[in-house]
Amino acid sequence: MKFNQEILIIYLVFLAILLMRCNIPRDPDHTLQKVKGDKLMVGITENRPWTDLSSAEPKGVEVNMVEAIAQMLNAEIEWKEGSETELMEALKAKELHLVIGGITKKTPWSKHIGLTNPYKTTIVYIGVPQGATMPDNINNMEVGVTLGTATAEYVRKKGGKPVKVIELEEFNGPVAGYEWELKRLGFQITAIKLHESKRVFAVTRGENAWVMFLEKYMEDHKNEIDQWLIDTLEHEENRKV
Amino acid sequence: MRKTGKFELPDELQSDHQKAKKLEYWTIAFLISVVILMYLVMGSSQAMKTAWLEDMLGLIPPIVFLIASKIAVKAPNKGFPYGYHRVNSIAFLVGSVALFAMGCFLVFDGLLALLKAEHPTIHTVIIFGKNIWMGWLMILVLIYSAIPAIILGYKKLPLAKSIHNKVLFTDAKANKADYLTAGAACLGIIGIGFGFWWADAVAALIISVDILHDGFTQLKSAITDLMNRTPKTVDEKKYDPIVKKLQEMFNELPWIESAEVRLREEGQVYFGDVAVVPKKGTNNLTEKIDEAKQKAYELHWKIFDLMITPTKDIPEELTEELRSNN
Repeated sequence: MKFNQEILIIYLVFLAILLMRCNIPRDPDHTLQKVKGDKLMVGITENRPWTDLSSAEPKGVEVNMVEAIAQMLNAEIEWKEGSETELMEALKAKELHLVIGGITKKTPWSKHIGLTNPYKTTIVYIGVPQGATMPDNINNMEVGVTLGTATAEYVRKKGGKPVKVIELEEFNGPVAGYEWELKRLGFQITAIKLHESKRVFAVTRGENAWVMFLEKYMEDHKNEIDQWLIDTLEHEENRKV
Repeated sequence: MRKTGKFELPDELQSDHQKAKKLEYWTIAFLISVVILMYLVMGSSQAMKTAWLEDMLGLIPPIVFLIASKIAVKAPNKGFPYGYHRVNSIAFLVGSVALFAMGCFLVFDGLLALLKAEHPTIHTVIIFGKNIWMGWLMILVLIYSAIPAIILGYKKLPLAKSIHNKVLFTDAKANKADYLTAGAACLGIIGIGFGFWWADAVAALIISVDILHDGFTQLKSAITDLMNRTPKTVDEKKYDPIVKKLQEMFNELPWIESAEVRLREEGQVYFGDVAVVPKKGTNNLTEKIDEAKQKAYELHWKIFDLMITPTKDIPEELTEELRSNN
């Protein structure tokens, strides 16, 4: 009994064409359809430079992204401020369409909610003061880290000795921080990476059309997003001054 | 007892065996590529995960076949006077236990996934600058996993029957049936595409029940084989007609009053005992026994090792029960 391979291929191609026209993937809970021309419920938690709730209107890289997305959908944004926990629970309960706040791919909430592909990878680097030599590694070196952050652990993992300071610029020697922090404070960024976080948006699990829409936006507007990051940081710098 | 050393398939089957070996090498190479591809695209789909594990398990039979092919044919020695034929049966048992255990786990896991009512999130991936839904990639990989498997299965099946190899036979059947797994998983993913989140979990459950069923059937066969059951045809559908033919052959010998044959499988070949009651006044008993043994061996290549024992009466173990089974 031999297979008729030609018929099989024709059948599959036909099926494929049929499916392509069927508007797949769809949302089990019709999120994308619901938000078009309607309200977009967005949970937001503070995490600069991604989200900034210090003034009357929310600001930040991710806020800019959401505003652009809302415009594409002709939707009105309804911001819901809160802690990540509350927002994630609301997202899980389908009371929100989106949650932002510099959320990373490794979030423990990933078992309960859905995450988009990352739109940006942020890296904690080792920086050295201007003019200092760039080390190859930090084995047994003292590295300045901001007090009360997980950066101390990243330093330890790479063999360094964390020295906790209130402000990084206080420390005379190599420091650890995100690339924009180091740049802002005038440090030279070395090639030593301590930690990578991939920034994502959080959505209700399984809303695949919604996820696809967001991922498409992120891919199409990569450069804009990078520019927003630069702008937001400049703004921060000016504020500090 | 057989005086020959290495077990060799008769010449006309050697080429079948070689063909089978080549196909199994191809199967291994192909399955490794499938396992890698599936791992890359499976994401959080339960159906894909189940299909992936099934394909990983699918590596066991070809590997087992190739190893057993080398070992099972080794000549008997002082340590292993019966030879190494049972290696095939043991390998088959190991494979079937793995399959059965995995089947149990996957059914349980699948039910859990369905009950938790989790909606799987399937992302997009950037290909040539466009966002393509991963579901399409999954379907492509599933089709890629199914078609060569089916072709390989169709090619291996007749070879398995001709060389009477159970490992190869079950492997070929499993390959042939791969269209079911791929089909179910595809439907699961298309279901998710249409917004039916449960389609994935249901597909996974179907596939895992199939695995469990296969595992159970194989396990039964492997166990009964090692329990020295009377040989059956390689598809396990009926007792091998050779048993009856052998019995008839012995009964027709002129110097034999009555004879009882019992056979068991050892891998690809049959071992057994024949109790004969010679007619009164039979001379040259040992020569006659030797002749009978050679005749039996010529009956079929599968009859490999017989002990012929002359007795006064047919022993009680070999009574009506045994006769009626043939």
